[in-house]
Amino acid sequence: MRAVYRALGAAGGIAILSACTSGQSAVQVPSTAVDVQNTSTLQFRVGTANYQGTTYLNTVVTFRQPNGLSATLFNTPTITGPAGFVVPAIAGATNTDTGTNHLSGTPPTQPGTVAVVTTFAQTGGAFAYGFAPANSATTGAANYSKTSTTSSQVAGVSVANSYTQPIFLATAAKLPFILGPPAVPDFHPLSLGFPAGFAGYDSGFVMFAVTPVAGVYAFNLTVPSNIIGQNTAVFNTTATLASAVPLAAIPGPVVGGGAGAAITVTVGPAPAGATSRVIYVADRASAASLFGNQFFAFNAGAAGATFSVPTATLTPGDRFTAWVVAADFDIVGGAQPGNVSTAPALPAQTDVTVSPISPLPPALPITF
Amino acid sequence: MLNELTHRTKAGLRSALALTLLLAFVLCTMPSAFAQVITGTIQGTITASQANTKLAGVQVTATAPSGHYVATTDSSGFFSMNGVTPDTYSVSLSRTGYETFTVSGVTVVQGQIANVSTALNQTLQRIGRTQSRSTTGAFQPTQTSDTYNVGTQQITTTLGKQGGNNESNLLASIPGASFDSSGYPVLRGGREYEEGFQYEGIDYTDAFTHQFTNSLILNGASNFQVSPGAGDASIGNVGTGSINVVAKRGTHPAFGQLEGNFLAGYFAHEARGEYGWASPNGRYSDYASVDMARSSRHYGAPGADPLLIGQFFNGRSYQWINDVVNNFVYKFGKDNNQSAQAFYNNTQFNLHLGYGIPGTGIPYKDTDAFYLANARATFGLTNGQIQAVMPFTPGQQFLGDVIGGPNQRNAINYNQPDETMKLQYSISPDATTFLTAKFYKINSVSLFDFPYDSTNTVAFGDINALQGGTTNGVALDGTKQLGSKNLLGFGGKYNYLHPVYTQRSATTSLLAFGGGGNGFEAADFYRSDTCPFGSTVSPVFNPATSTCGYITQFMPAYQLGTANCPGVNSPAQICPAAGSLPFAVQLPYSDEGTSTNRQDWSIYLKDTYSPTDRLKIDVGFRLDAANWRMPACTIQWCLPTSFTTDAGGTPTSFAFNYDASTSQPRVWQPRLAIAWQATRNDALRFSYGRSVQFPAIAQVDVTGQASAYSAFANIPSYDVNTGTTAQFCSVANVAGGPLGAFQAPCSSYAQQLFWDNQAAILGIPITPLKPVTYNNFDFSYSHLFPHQVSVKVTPFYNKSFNQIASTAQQIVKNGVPLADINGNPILGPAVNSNLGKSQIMGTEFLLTKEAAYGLSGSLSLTYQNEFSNVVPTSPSEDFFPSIPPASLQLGNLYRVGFLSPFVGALTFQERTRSGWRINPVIYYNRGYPITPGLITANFVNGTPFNLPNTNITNSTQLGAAAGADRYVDPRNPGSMFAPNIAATRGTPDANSAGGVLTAARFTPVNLTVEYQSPRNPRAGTIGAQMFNVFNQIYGLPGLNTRYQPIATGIGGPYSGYSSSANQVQPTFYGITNNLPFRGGNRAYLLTPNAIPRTVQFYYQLNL
Repeated sequence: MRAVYRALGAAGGIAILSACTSGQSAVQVPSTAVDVQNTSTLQFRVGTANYQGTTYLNTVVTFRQPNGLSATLFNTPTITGPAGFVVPAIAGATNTDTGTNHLSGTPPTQPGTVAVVTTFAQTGGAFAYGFAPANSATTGAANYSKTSTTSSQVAGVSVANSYTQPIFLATAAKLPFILGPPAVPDFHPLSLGFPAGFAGYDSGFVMFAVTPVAGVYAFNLTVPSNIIGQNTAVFNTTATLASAVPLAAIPGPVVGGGAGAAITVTVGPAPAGATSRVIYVADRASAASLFGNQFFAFNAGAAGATFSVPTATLTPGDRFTAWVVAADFDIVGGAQPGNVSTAPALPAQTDVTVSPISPLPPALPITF
Repeated sequence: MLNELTHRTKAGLRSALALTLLLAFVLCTMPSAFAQVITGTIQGTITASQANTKLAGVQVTATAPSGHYVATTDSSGFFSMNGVTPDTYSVSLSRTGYETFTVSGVTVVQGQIANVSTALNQTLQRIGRTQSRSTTGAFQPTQTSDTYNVGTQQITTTLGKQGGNNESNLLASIPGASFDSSGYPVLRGGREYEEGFQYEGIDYTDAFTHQFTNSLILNGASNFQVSPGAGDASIGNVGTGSINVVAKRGTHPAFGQLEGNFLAGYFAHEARGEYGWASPNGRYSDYASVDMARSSRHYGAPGADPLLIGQFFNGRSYQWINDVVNNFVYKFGKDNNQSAQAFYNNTQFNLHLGYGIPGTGIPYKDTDAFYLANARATFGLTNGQIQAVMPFTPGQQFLGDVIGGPNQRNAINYNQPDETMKLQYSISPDATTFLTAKFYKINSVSLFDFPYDSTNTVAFGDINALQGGTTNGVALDGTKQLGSKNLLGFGGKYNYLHPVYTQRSATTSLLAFGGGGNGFEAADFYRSDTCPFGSTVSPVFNPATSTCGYITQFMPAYQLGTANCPGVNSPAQICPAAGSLPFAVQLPYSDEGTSTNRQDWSIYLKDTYSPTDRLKIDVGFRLDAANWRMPACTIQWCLPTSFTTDAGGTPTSFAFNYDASTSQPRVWQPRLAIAWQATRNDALRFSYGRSVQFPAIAQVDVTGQASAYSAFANIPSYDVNTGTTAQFCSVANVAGGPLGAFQAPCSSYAQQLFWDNQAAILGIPITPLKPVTYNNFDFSYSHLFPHQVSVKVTPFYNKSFNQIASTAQQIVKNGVPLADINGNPILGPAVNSNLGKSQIMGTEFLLTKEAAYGLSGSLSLTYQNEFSNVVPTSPSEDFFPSIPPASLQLGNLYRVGFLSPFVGALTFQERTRSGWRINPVIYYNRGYPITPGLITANFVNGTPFNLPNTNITNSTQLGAAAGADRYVDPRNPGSMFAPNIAATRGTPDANSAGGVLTAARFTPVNLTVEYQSPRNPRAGTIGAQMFNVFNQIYGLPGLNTRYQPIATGIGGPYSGYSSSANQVQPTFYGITNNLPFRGGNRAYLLTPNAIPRTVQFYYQLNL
């Protein structure tokens, strides 16, 4: 309903849509600010990514405050590669990083000013476990809520504000990497009160469809202040890609079961050099689904095995697709909510290998 | 019982000036009879001092400049004079064989009893004896209800000088009254519309919103009375308290004053004059007062301009006030026992703001580049299409016209007039009876003319609104003295409220008819061959192929061309190139109105029983009633309380289970008050009263104006989406949700536009509401100290129910409350309801000191602790209260956010015999609640909980405190029960919203220094007033709702920016809040909005 206007009290002077100015207490509210520069811990690693047979650059970043949560809700990252590292063009889009050796973000600019297009733009930042397009806005809304449907190899899946990867590939060639139960504590039951838009936790790694070059990669992270052009904190670190040889490729998992029975995912042994393996399962909901799309993940270990998707929150008509990631670092071990250390253990180089999606060859998806 | 003066004090009363000052001083609380009427009573018992027997046949004469009354004591020695005009009287008592005894300084105020009881000495030698009586400020031994009377002297002390007109400041100096967080005066914790304003016994509230009508300008007041709480039975429909002003009357000899004043350093001056005269026999009297003020000054501190308002020196602001009062009384009949009064008041208040407008002007919205960019993005139209269909802002003359510039039109224009007339007839058929009949009319319709809104969003840009109405009424009141112990009061009143309300907006028109409602009519207004949708081939409209241009077959389309865009007013304006605008018919205005009138009537009966001079008991009953003349509740006008559907889910039948008391409320209100003078210097008082306030018409009915669409009445409706008759003409579609499936065919295109506007802009048309009811208790103890110092302490408690508050309630379909897949209730639209509640307890404290010379003044303190189920600091909490549905179900109560819990006012003066007067006035408040709170109410899976208040629990709940100050880790948010807080605003907070107060302040502080020669008072008075001595210009810190969190205590650079993508303006167009330097990037915003320290010089000439 439209607002009716308040009468003005004329005596005492001018007041715009309010009455007399007497009786007001007008002192700025005191505030205390955290020392971001000295209390935050930043880690940055690079490695190779064997993405379904093609080798790209992999990155892992952790940026945490003493309690293990993300250090800041907004920051601007820049990765500068060694000589020979060249950022490719994106089909149908412009990117000022194209042809350069840096993957950058766009710092805050005067509102109304057209911001230069960069890889991370103004939305991408470094968080507790990986990069994500989750920088805060003036609405203050938590940027975990689901985006509209984002096409990927898993067609029709909508993901949280996470990067489908590898960045720079065509959308239909990319995959989401969201950690769900049982690899992490289940957040799906209604009684737990998780916000409806939350889809899962970060896997820590973000791949870029760029040919990796051995050498030193510089990482710069700026945290802005409330004044455009000035920073609250600036972090600089480096990571070395000692070898551009990727991990071996891995076959995709086999999804079985369904038709009223439990959904199973079967995988073979992990490739040599991989110390951890995660199976990602996307549950693409039917129209009657209670939760819409949701993600599961299994911390598979090195040996082959069969895993069953928890059935408690499944709905008849749901459709399942799975893929596997093997890595030479503990993906789940460093992930939240379990790991709230300021600096989770990471090797000097972080390599991943990503399987094709199931089922193989392409066929009708398994339904529950 | 008389309070005799000491010899020392008697000596001080020799000068007439001293006597006048003493007799009319400070707050005088006297035994209460009725406050609705404007006359008082003098009564008493006369005894023979030697024999201590009651004396019959004593001639009692009361004389004052404004009146003369005579009575004779009866067999019990008792006398009573009713219908006495408020003034200060000399009461003379004479009987053969006894010395004549005169009591001077008997001050009569409206609705109260002045007691003059004494003993006469039997003697043959003494001619007479005179005794002066002083009013005793806070000490009134036989006062019954909690009432504060402010005479002219205290008005002068509080406002700094005689003729001061700031009614807000005066109210705030009285216990029980305070400024709310918006700066409005409120009584005993009420909201802005919950007080009753009266002048000369007439309701001075507008017919539509129940706000004051006189712009809080005090002019011509002889007495100012405030009754926090219920008051006596003659007071009704005044919510949490009433303010009653009585006008001055002419006197013999005459009195008058002329004044001129000016503000140093600004264009601001005032001329004021008053004159009151009466014929020697008192038959004719007239009082007239005129107050005219003009000012033009910038906001903020001079020399510093944080808003960059004054950087364009040719920015304008202008305020002018004219206030006229005339009070004519003709007395006639035996001993002037009848009178006819004609009272007239006309207040004109005009405010124009045009800060920062460049000399070349600023464009109206339809040629404003930033507005057009937003409109294009929102509606997918081109600039030309927007300009072709969007109506001109009222007052705009052509496309390309500008605000400011050569036509000098200001960005904000405000006019708040009030015209009041009263005719009253009074008669005292005998000494014990007084009857009054009055007819009155109040006409107050404010104009809000805002051709330029500060935001450039597509919603609610320009506004041109009329708001107010007329009230016509008659009232009968009477008093009858029954014996010596009972004073009976009775009366009745009838008011007819006819509101006037329109609100036209050109920019809102585009929103209403461009897809914000149920249809997309804008496309209908283009001629088909230039239509943005559908066929562009055939110039003939074909419903089968053309999806727009429908209206153009009924009305000739036109094309705006460069002839209407002279391009001389502003180089920044946008003018269409020749032929670039499509042929189109302009949309009608989005307009608002109301369909409701109301009849109020009331009756009351009360008795003041005085078994002894020390004990008074007031018992009364009052009935307030109303007839709401509004459309009956059908699906056409009201939200159903439940509905049933057919098998397909389409609503088929509706229930409107609104209480019968919403259309014809009848509320009985008992009133009980007791006053007991325990000792010579101590008095106790208790009162209970139930009071009522009917909802304002604005709270019940805001419907569109059918007349705005009358040009389309003969055109069939047309839904551009279906190509057939539009089917959304009822409340069902306004409500949306499952109710929206109800098909209500539109009978015409006019009806279609009406309902589209209702759905997009106005919401549910009619919301029947019950009256708010209050139960008020208060108790007082007062004491008289030596040297005319008195103290009164009044603890109070007030509980109300059926308070008006907006909330959204769960939809009930087929008897089942609806819930979504998560189990959370599916809510209907937010509408006003009677689900609000509040209770307040506190203490009022008053200390007064009277003195003709030397130090005198008052200290007023109020402690108030009010709880309500309305969330504190929620938007417009004090005017549009709302309750989040989850909080409502949980039954949460909060300390209100619009009151300071402790306020005070110290007003005093030092008057020397050499003619100087120094008069400081200091206001204090403990601070106002401002924080959003650590806890909020929200639904989780259908169950309401009190949860941590974070950015994942705060933003979606209706009426939640604006913003949160805790932010979760977006990658690891945790649950709503145990969120992972990654950052906060870094400011202190408490569990409840408003749990942390702003800093305590002494504000404002005003100082007056004045001189009047004691040897030559007719030479006049000169003085200087300094306002806002400590130059406090900033308003309350407001939570920055557009805060970008980065880390704890660190806000991002986008904090304070509008969500509009087009927010950077190359030049400052006056009032806007899109710019970063408006204190905007901190957790709280501090905005200057007070007049800086100013000095006013004045000269007053007594006539």
